[in-house]
Amino acid sequence: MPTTLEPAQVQEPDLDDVPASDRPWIVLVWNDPINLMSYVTHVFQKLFGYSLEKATELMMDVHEKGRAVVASGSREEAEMHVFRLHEHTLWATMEHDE
Amino acid sequence: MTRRFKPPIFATTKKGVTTWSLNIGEDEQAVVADLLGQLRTLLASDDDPDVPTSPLLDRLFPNAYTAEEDAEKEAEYQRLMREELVASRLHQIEAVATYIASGEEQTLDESQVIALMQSVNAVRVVLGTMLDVSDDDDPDDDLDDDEYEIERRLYAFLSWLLEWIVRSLRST
Repeated sequence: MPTTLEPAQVQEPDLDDVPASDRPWIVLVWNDPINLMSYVTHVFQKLFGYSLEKATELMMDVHEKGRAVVASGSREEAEMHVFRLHEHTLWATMEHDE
Repeated sequence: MTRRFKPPIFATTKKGVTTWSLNIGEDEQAVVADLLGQLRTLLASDDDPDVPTSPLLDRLFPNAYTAEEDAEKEAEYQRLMREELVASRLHQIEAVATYIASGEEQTLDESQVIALMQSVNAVRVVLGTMLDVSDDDDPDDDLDDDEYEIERRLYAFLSWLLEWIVRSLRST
């Protein structure tokens, strides 16, 4: 038994575990040269409840690969995510998951 | 140096309640208020059918749908949400402008800090669009003889402020 408490594990939504029919839309964030890396990471944490590690990983994907899938869901859910990302001035779009 | 550097914005938690202090001078606050006023004017012009939408606003209102085949959904989305997005921005600007206009050294609550964060970034994005900022830009480039010198310095100032706003929210 460890004598110290384990750090709380943040439940990460694992996109692979959800059947495709339940998450027909994906929300993408695209790289842009203006938004700061620290800011993008913070917005991902705040809007989606991601851990710092997960949010940083997604931010680096956006930065290096040009885009990252940050959420998925029904059309209404995806539109709401896109709206909130636009409120934070991130370049986000949604598309039907193939 | 006997005094320690205090960040431009920082959080303090007392008895479980966190408040933020904005530690920038009156001149800097006036600059922020002025830029927010300009953004407000730009956003208001978006509503006027006689005035073409400024290309400076492009990045503030991106398309929601990636694919061209979703053009119909896009039109529906814009019809329902664009006005709401403008209203949200104006609301955030108002919250910051009211705080700055009060002129007192009162603390900010989290919603005010978030309004400040979103507004400062919206102005950065407009300035960045104007300056055509790219990933290859070297911030140490010589600013002299640049017709956009003032905008570049404002952009750098707001980036610095935003970095500290994010840090102050993280620390809580």
